This record gives sequence, C-alpha cells and structure tokens, in this order.
Amino acid sequence: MPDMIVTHGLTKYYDRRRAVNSLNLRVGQGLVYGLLGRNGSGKSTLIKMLLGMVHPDCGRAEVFGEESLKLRPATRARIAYLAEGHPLYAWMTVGEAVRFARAFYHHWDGSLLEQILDHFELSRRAKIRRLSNGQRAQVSLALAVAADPELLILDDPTLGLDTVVRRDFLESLIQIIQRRGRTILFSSHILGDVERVADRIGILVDGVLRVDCPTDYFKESIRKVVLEFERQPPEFPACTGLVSSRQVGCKRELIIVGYGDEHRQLAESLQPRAMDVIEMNLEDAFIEYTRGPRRALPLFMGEASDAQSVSAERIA
Amino acid sequence: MLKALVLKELRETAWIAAVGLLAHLGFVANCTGHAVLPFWTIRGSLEIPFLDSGFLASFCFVSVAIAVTLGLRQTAVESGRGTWLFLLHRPVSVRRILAAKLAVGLGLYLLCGLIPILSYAAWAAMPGKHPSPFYWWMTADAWMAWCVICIVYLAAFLAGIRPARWFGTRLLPLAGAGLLAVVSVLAFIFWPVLGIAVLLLLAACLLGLILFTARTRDFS
Repeated sequence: MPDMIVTHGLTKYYDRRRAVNSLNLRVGQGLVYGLLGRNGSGKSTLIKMLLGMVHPDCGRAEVFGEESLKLRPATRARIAYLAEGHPLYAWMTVGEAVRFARAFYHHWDGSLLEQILDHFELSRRAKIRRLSNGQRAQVSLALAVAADPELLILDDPTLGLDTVVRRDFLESLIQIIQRRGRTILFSSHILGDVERVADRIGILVDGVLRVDCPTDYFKESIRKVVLEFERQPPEFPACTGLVSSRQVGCKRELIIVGYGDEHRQLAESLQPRAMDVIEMNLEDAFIEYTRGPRRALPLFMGEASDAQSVSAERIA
Repeated sequence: MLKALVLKELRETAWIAAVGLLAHLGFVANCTGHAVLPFWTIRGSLEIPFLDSGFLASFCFVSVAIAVTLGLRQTAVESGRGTWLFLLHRPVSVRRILAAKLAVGLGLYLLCGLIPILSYAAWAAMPGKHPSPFYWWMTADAWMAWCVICIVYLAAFLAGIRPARWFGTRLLPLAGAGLLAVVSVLAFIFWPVLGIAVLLLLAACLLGLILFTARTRDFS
C-alpha cells in the first residue's frame, strides 16, 4: 500500500512556541486517519503544512510523493481540502460557488454533486452568507467530493455543528469512503466522530505525535489502574507506558499505555490494599492521555468545604 | 479557470470602481461648471482646464482612495475571512491567481482614471465651453498622476498580502509607496523618460515583492 502522505521531522515554530515538533507521519492509501488533539495542539498547522499553506521551519512533508510546498496544480486537483470553519465566498450563491469551483477541474462529477445538494436540501439559489454552519459544511463537502479527489484532508469538519447535522455529515462521509477507497485524513476533537470513522488515529500533544496506531489498538492498550492504600499513597516509579500518575486521597490513579506484567509487578511491589484495572473508552482514554497534570477547577471542593464549615457552625 | 478567477475578482471589486468613478465624474462635473451636490462650489467654467481648475487635486484624491481600497479589498479581506485557504487550494498556480487579481485591480483602477481625464479633456477641447485655449499637453500632469498612482495600488496590494502584527507595520508598504510616488513625480517633472523608467522599476520591484510574499508567507 503506497503512502499518500509522508512527513519527516516536520517542525513549525510560532514565535518561540513549537506548534509542531519533529513530526514523522505516514498515511497509506485507502486509510481513514483521524488526527486528534486538544485546541492548539498543532492539528491545523500540520494540515496546512501538508497542503503547502504553511512553511515548515524544519523537516519536510510529501503528498503523492511531491513536496508539499511545490505541489503542482495537477496534484492539487487530486486532493480535496476542507479548511476549518468552511471558508467560502459569502457573496456567492450555492450555484455560483459550484460554477466557480467546477471551472478548475477536468473531472467533475456533477450528478454526485446534485445528489449531495439534494440530499442536504440545499437550494442552488441560497446565498452562502445566509447558510448555517452546518449547511456551509455540507456545501464544502459537496464541492470537495464532486472534484473526485483521491485524498480528502478535512480540518475539523464537524466543528460548530449540532449533533444531528454532525451525524448526518459523518454518515455522508462514510458513504463517500465506501463508494471508492479514498484516503481521508481528518482532524477532530470529537472522539465519537473519530471512533465511528477512523481506521487509525494519531494524537498530537503540544505539537508532538504521541500516538500513531490503529484505533482499536489504542482503546485496548490504555488502562486506568487505581491503587488503594491505607494511608498516604507512595509515588509510582517511572516506567515505560506511564502516561500520568496522580494522588486522589488514599488512592493513586495511573494511566498506562500497553499495560502488562511489568506494570502489574511494579504496582504490587507498592503493596496496595486493593488494585483495580479499568478499561477505558476512546473518549476517556483520549482525555486522560492528553490533559496532563491539569484538572477541573476545584469549585466543588470549595463548595464542599463551605458546606462543611456551615455544618460545623450549625453543630457549634 | 482564468475566466472564473477574473469574474470572481470583478464581482468583488466592481462596486469600488463604480463608486470611485461616480466620485471622479462628480468632480469633473464640478470642474465643468455643474454642481452635482448642493454644497459644492461650482468652479471650472472660468478657469483654465487641467491647470488651475482644481481637477488634479480631486483626481489624485479619488484615485488614491480607489487604489488603496482596491488593493486592500483584494488581499486583506481574503485574509480576514479565511478564504485564501479556499482560493489557494484550487488547482492553479499562485502566480496565476495573483495575475488575475492584479489584472482586474489594475484594470479597474486605470479605467476609473481614464474616463474622467478623457471626459474633462473632451469638454475642454470643445469650442465655446471656456474662455481659455486648450492643448493636449495641458493634460500631462493628470496622465502622470494616473500612472504614478498605480504604484499606490501595488503597494496597497502588498500591504494587504503581507503578514503583519498590527496596522502600523501592515501599512508600511503604503507609506513607502507615498515616498516613492513623490520620487517618480519629481523624476517625471525634470526628465519624463527617467520618470517612466523609475515608475517601471518601482512597479517591477513591487510585483516581485508581492510574488515573493505570497510564496513565502504562511496562510494560517
């Protein structure tokens, strides 16, 4: 299976912050690759570098074997790109946007476009500026697919869409994938979307590609281990696969990738009173994997302590 | 595809040219003794056309306004609305996209300047319209301004396309263009051939900078 997208040590700085850090990625033909990451993790920057819109400070990206910064128009015609927020010319009607886009392509599947517009009940006379976010996303998808691309690169395509429209959009995307074995790379921070569509996922954390594996493998290999102690829990020793370790009262919660005998023996060596190994769904796994030491604001703890002080006053 | 690009640019900028042309024609009407708006002082019918009718000042003012608005509309608005990403991903070279934009922008600017100069000259050339003689050389300053303000359009285009942290630095090319326009005007006055050479050189530099900026900047 030839690689459609290859990056070597791709790095991009914004001021002194590394938005993308030494990223090596391969996306094979026919694959649906879900790029996950929190806001500001570098997903959009990576996608823009793949399309030659942003210049890397270091490393290189290749699409269809051509350097991204020097993509020939003929190669660009094989790639559909849905930018974040679905930028289209607001003054155009849907029909004008179709006519404008069609003028650039030799292969244009007009009947498929009609089918998609009809399916989404989009009038050709509707002004783009009057469309909702969801409808703009649908127009963008229709324009992208009508050009019969071999590679679709979608930057957070479901951002800002309500649940129903999002589901509809994804189902259309699945149909497109099934129609012909197209390669799709899409970024999202909605885990359900990724789980539904992607064969393989990549997780970007602060510009670093921390995970690049099949979706099922990621779900299966990440575990939450809860060790319960009678008093202050000891530190868990550093080891391979340990993502995070935090203390919650008399418990120590560990997030471990590729949980195995080595981790179990280390945990038992701490002599906990009880030990739970919990499987996680993709969403929980992603959250635990990406959020690092930050936790929710301790508002409820504050309320709890307020309540305690109130009850203490009452007792007094 | 070039037709689609040109039509798109025309749809986006024709209104600027239309408003500019109306303003130009208003000033021409004023210079030929017609008051378009009630508060405008009627002038011109007793003055020497192009030389002391105030035409040149109003022509420069409106032309600069058209040039700056066109240049920024074609670039900064694409950046502001994020449509560069949509446009630049079309399977056509960046050079062609820029060529279409510049051809439409310059074409509209030149047309907007050509019509008032010719209209005013045609009126001035008609016998009995004003008490002074008319020679075509009297229009030379207007033509010079028409050419020199092309530099302002290109500078506005460059200002809109280059990334900048704030408006002060973004407008740097425009400020530079103001100075360069003065240099070309001076060159025109003392030696017209040198003036044309300076103007062409400046235009070539600005076009090169526009292409270089479009190729090296990040569209993020």
